[in-house]
Amino acid sequence: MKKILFSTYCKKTSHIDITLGIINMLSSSGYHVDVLSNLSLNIYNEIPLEKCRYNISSLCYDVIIVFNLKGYERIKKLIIHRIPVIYVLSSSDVENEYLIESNLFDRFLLINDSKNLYPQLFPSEYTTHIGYPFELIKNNVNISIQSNPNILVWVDFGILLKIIPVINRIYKYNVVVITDNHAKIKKIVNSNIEIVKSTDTNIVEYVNKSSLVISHGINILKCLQLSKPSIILGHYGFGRLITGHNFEQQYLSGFRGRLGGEREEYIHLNLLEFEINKSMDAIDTLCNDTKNLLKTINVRYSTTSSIISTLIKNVCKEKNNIWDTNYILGKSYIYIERKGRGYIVLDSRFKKIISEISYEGYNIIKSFEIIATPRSVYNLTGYEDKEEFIEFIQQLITNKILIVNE
Amino acid sequence: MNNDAFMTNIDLANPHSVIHNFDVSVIMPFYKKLDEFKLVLPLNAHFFQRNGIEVIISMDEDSQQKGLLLLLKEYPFINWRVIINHNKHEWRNPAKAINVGIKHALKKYVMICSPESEFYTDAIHLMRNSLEYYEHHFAIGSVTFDYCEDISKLNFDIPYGSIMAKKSDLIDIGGYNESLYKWGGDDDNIRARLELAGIQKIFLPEVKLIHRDKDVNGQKKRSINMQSILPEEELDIFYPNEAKVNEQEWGRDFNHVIYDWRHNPLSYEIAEKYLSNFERFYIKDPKIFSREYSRIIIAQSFNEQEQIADFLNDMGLYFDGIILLDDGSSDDTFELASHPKLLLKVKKNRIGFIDIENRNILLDLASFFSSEWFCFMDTDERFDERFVDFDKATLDEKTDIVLFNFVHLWDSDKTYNAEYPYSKNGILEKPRMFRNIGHTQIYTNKVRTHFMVIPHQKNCYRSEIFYKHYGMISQKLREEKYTFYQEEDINKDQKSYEHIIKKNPLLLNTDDICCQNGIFCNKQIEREINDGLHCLS
Repeated sequence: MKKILFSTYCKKTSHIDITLGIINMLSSSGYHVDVLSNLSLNIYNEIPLEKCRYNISSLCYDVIIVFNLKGYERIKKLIIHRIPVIYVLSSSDVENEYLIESNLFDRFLLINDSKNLYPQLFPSEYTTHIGYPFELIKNNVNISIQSNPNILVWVDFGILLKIIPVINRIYKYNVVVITDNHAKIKKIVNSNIEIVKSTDTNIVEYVNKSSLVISHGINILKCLQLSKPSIILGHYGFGRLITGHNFEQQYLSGFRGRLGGEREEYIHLNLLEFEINKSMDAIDTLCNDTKNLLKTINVRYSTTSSIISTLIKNVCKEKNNIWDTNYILGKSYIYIERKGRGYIVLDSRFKKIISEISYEGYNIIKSFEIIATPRSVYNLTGYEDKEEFIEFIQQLITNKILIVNE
Repeated sequence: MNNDAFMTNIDLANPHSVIHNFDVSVIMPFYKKLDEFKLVLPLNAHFFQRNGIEVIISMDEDSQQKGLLLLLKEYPFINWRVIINHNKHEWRNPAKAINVGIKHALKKYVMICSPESEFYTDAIHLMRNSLEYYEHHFAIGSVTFDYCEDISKLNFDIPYGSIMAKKSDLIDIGGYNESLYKWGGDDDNIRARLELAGIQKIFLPEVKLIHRDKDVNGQKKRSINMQSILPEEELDIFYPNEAKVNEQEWGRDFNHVIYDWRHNPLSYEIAEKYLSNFERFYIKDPKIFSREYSRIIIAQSFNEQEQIADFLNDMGLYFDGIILLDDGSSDDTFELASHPKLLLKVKKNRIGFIDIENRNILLDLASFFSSEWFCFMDTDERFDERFVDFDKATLDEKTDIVLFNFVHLWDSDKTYNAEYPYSKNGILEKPRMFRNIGHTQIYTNKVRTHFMVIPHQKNCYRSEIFYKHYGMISQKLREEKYTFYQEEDINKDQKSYEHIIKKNPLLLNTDDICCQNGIFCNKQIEREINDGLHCLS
């Protein structure tokens, strides 16, 4: 059974959820997970804080997973190059939690990437994406069928203000708006619109009673659980009705709006209104489609779990057998010749000079322009000192000059 | 607007600036817009006529073919390509025509704009520059419709009119949506799908185009057209669910190429017209303009009657063709220049030695020929037959520039100056051979001389080709050269020429030159360094 050390630093509730979610997935995949955390998580393999400072040896672990910068810093002295390190962070925390030195870990595990993050920061060669929340569907949820068509609008205040003209125009339907600013909104909406405070504990009931929901973020999942057709409208624009076509990408981007949209971008209100009316006209069909969608969503948890398992298997395999693993040249570096002196290695993401290498070293690197194993390159180049060669290859792997070809 | 304003000193001094090779295909979908195109082309021509830009006219019907070709002939140094649709049809959404252009594009970046758009600012440079730094992006500009003559009243407030993206990004998403057939929506949709694919948008308000429309009812028609788009269609245009469209083969609606800068059928006609501006010229055979070549030498000469035959013989051993520009020789250089591989020789009037002018004329002449490579060599240079593997040097598709090594022969044809400035024990290197990217010019902040003699400078290959420079082989020649540069280099493009007349520099033997792992060195020096006896540099 593989042993994993998971060092996590939680600053908000979602971090705790992510931590527990990852631990659950790893445990149910058969891994033994020891957890270091800044908060007490009340789980059985949690390492007491006083022990972690002095008594942990990373040698007994197959993989180290770290969540957030402080999660990394806590155990960085324990890391030796033989143990693969997976660095987990959420896309919403990139500004504070991004780890620039790519030689300090083997893989990024990025949660809810919206593709709006600079690809330079997360080269696809060593980044794996997963969505959040991990557990999408809860069992035993009561779904009620409503007789009167009803639209629920459950968006942030800023977005709500933008779409008031649309809400006021869809007079054919009863509309329920959930908002923090009950008093203000009440003054600017028509009489067919009911305003509910977001602190109301019966929100799930309101969702249950609705035919169609307009919302964003994690609330969308709550609505989908109840088989409610949902239109995404968030801080990144109008994301349209959730269907089997767009669910996966929307999930990975956290249901935040238009796929590829910009923050607070313009919303085509006429098209939003059209989508609402079109959806309501076909609401019965959409309900059935959403129920079918649930079946697809149901497998998402196990998909995420298997993505993480596969990632762990791959990083372990790479570390155990570098010699016969297929590698290819990473795209993050440029090599500039200095006449008579070898090459400068430049990080193409930031145009920073990383190091200098000899002509011999460059010839070795060049051999990986097509997929090759270190063994084959060693035989091809006829390099004399095998240990020196292995050490060089190790450095190339650590610095992501060579990337595993999976 | 004058493009020179955008060619700053920083651009000129920077060998990596985009101005040396824009690497952009400008695609224009064309449907009966010849009148408007005639109006704006004179204003846009200097933006198009730059290194590494090709202009692809995707002509969606052929009624104006003749008129268009007549017009293009007036701009011989723009790298044109024209693909034409012979099927008769009414106006349709340009998506198919644009896709034909995309599939034919040769450059890394693609810009799409209308043939009736006047470039109020240098859209190509501004967009290309931004994408040079923003790798995973596409750029858009702004446009105005010219309903009034007074330019000061124009409002560039519509973020449309032009887009520039990497060709590979457009290919990945299947190009423009060919299911669109009505007016409008093609540009909104391509932007939405690029964003869906993770390519981010950069809006550049400084990119300004004026849409010149001869139809006085143009605005009204556009409004009617916009209203005819159904909300359902609009939804799919602005908010597509998938990035990739056109599952079937796309960009193949028509394919007839009638004009291609790489193999220009009008080269002879255009060249004759251009050459009529010179004092004298000689064309070996009109057929030379329709042949394809692998490598062509381009060279200038001035009063080289003693050397010219030998020079041509040497070049003829390794190149398919030679183009010679005589810089107003007062001797018989022009008459004596003769060789089976001499394709073209031209004699110009000389008003002092202006190296940059001569080289740019040679680049103009080169543009009439279909050759994969061109190479600048001077008449006082000869290849060293031990090191002439040109095939190896041009093997890699990614190579665009080939560096040669050379020495300055000194006092005999067996010895060279080992103390020449900026050399490694007398061995220097220079980029000399360059891949044909269409008509180019050398852009430099030097006034007359001592600049990089190739028009574009990225993707260099250090070759094992070696030549010897005979121009300073004797004391007499060196003194003449020194005097010559003192007189001609009035702008001090090079600060000092004292090294030319330096007495008794260390001389090494050319026979000792060798090449190890692609690096040229002198065997004697290497031995001494290894023995720890001597170090020169």
